[in-house]
Amino acid sequence: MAKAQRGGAGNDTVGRPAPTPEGANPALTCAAGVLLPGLGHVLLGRVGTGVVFLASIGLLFGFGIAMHGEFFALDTAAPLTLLAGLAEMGAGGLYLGARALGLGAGDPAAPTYEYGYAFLIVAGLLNLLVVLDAWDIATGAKSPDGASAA
Amino acid sequence: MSHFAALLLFAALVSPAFACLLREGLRERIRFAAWAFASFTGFALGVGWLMYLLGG
Repeated sequence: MAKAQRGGAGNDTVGRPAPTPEGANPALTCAAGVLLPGLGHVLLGRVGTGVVFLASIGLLFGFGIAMHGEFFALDTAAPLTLLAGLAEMGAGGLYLGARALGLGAGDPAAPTYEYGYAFLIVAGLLNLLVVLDAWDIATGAKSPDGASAA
Repeated sequence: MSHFAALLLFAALVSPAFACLLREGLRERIRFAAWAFASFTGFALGVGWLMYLLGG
């Protein structure tokens, strides 16, 4: 409990928990998190944490593209390909931006092709976890000390 | 890029994110990130050696 009271509004660092903001809009927070990894946490006053998420997921995604990873088609005839494609879409704004730039075509002949799409899939799934975490904080389901309210 | 370099890169990028998701407090997060990084690399090396030894 004492740990939860250490953080104050506006003094968030990577390691210091901030209290759940009053009047936080969970839907807006999640939308921001989908738009850019970590942005939802920044809106909740957890700037340091949001920056870590942005750096981590952004670099994963960037390396995935640089390693010739592929954005998989949403092919319902191939369930695993469909799931991989959906996972990659979890990167949200990064995914749409890369698509708009024509990136992510993939090169199966490249030695790093498998690494690339694995990085892209993990970046998308990790961002979905981050968005759900922002939702939990905004709704009060996760207390500032990290404990679940459930 | 070698398998090992890709493994180290992956572990280095994912561990801090998991630490921020699952722990609060700078010291706890650093400890968890270090533990996760070591676990990623340790398990991969262990399984790799196991496959090498069992595979003959």
